[in-house]
Amino acid sequence: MGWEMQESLTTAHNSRFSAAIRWQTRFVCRQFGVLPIDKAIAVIRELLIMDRAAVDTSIRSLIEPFNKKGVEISDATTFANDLEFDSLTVMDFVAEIEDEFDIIISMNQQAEIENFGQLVDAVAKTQAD
Amino acid sequence: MSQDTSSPETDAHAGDLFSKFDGIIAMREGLLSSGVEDPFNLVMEEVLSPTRAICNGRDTILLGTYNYMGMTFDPDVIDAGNKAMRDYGTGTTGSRVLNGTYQGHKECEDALKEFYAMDHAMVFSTGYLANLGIISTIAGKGDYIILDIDSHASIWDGCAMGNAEVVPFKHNDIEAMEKRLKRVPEGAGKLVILEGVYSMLGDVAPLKEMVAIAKKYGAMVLVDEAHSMGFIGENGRGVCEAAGVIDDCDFIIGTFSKSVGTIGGFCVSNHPKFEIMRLVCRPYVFTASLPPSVVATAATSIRKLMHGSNKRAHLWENSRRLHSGLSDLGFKLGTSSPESAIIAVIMPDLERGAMMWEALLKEGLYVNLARPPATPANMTLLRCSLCAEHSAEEVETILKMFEAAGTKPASFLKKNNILN
Repeated sequence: MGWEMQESLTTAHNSRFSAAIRWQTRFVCRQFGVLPIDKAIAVIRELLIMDRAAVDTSIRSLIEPFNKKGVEISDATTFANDLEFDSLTVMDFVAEIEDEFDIIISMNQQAEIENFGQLVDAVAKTQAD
Repeated sequence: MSQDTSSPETDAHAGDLFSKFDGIIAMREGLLSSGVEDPFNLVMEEVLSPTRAICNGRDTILLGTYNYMGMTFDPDVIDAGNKAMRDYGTGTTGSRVLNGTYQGHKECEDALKEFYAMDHAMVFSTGYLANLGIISTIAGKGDYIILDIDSHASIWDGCAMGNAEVVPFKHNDIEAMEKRLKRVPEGAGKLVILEGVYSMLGDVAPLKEMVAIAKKYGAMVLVDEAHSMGFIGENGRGVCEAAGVIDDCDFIIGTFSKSVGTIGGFCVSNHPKFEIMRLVCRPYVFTASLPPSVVATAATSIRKLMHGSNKRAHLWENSRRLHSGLSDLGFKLGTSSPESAIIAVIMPDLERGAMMWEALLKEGLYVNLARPPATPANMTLLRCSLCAEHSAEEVETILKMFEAAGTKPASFLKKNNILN
């Protein structure tokens, strides 16, 4: 059992997780040492949730200069209606996120994203993939 | 991110599929209620030459036709068209892959191969279909298209019709393009799409740098040279020729509806497997081919453009004179120096742009009124495109018309922020 845990954490560690999750993986390794595989998966799932929080914080600060009217941001805040983003604003905002996380958010992906929560989910997922 | 175009009133007449156009209907009505002539419904009752027509009853200088080389009334071109219509009839009534390939279509493709010094040429029924067909066919599922955000509608529609991942970058931004290329997953196919001249502002792409970077990342490159054919580059092959990168361009897309002076589109390429496009490209297969007269006029015109260096030089003189003249009059222009045969005059908004457009029309000058969403940065533009057949005197007359239209409603334009 032990080596499986080690392997799954190593996989997590080596994949394209954000710096935050890599650090947390190391931390968990040091804390728990050898864990059974189901426990290990639970730990990693927990880490992914924590990673989403980090992505949320980061995007929240990136959106500020584009949030001209100071709309309060929740997961349900929509870009087109609540924030009144036009296509040019969308391009600039997406470019900021892409640069920050070193990812691509293609137009195909953007078409599926209507609100802030969906954007955070999409970025967190791209990070974890 | 998806743009919701519905309005709150939509619910009031649920079920009417036209409700989604209420916004643009209101915009148009608002514009016309101010009393201006409809800028999007102009009729040319008579066309006197490549540069003059009777528009809405007035003798008008044409400065918004993309008829850069003035080939539309060339006697040799007209003769070729007449002869082909007599010999081959008015239309092919068929697809290129069935009964729609005549001798004239092959001759037209031969003329293109010679013009561009490339191995393959494929003629489409319009330039729009050329972009739609080539882009949607070559970039498939899992491939990545990296393109300039200000790309023409036909390029965007080609992307939308295909299944590739579409990744735009900021207009003419070399660094933004490279960043996106760098992030494409390893092993994915990559197509970079650029234009030689961007038609709204008339600015030119930094193709030398951009094509080199695209090649560095192993991408194929498609360049739309619709607005440069015939007068940019030593042989009129476009900005890619002028920038010395034509050999690194995998596909050049062009049109017959600008410098060539008729209608139709094409793609030229040196790709060894290019001919297979004729079987797999749906906008090529599933539409009727161009009429014999059209391909005959196109072929004749293309061959004449190969020897058009005097006309090219005169066109550039016209472009430089109009640019400097309009700058001196105080108009805000799309480029700081003339980069092509398009000079775009920037208007503060649609309402005032339409007023100025109408004032020019009453002076006897036709230009294009371009408005969002076709324009970059939501600009309203009075877009002027010059012709090699505009005489030097005509360009001076054009400048006087701008001056008159700009000053007639006394200080109106200054007050309304149209002039600097």
